[in-house]
Amino acid sequence: MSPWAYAAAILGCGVGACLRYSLGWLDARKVFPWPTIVANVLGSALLGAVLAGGADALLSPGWMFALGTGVAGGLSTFSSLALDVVVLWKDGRRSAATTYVAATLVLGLGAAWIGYALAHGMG
Amino acid sequence: MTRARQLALVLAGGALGGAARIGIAEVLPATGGAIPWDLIVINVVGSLLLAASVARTQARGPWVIFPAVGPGFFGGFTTFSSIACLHWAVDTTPLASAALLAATMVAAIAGAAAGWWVGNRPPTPLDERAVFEEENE
Repeated sequence: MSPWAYAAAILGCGVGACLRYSLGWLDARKVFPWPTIVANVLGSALLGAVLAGGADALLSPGWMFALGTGVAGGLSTFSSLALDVVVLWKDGRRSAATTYVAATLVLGLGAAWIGYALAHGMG
Repeated sequence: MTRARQLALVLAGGALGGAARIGIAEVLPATGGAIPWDLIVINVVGSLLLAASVARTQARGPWVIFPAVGPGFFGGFTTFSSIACLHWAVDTTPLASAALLAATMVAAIAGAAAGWWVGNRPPTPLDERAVFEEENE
């Protein structure tokens, strides 16, 4: 991997983090932290598409690194997800915490498959 | 703080977090197995430290640069997509990779619970909405 690919992946991670942060502005109510679920769904779909693009030789390893490890890696997050569950649980919202975990798991995996299938279909 | 300034902090923190994740993944020896230990360690440690810093700021007052630390650094450092897409990166069955994602979630949530406990000493009441506001989610 060239130094440029590393630079692009690091910058891409910052851009992905900005996209994730911007999603929070769509949620004015701040009652259920759905923007983090959306960020993880979008990041998983993007990485699925990037991996399919790489498998079909549509993307070079450098682009896969910048878009996958960088942008999709920065857009998706594990720390907010874990904190959200702890906060909901500590606040006594057990069913909201369970829904959050289940939605993240099912929608995240589903989005990865859809992203992979869509990009694979384009190739 | 203006939204542009918040985004500048998130961009800088996110880039640093990504650099740390990439650096750790390069430095840790590749185990060659189906389990990405480097990403699991990054996600559990990142969840613990984020929860500790949020518990701290909630109890003791905000940090001006929090967007760079929380949503930026720890958000960019930890990652969900690589584990959700593990099935294509290493040769595992879809069921095994889904089980690994679930196990990573359990470990990261346990890490965040421990981090909250560490950061919230002495214990103060939790304001759920204030946490979601601080994290902007």
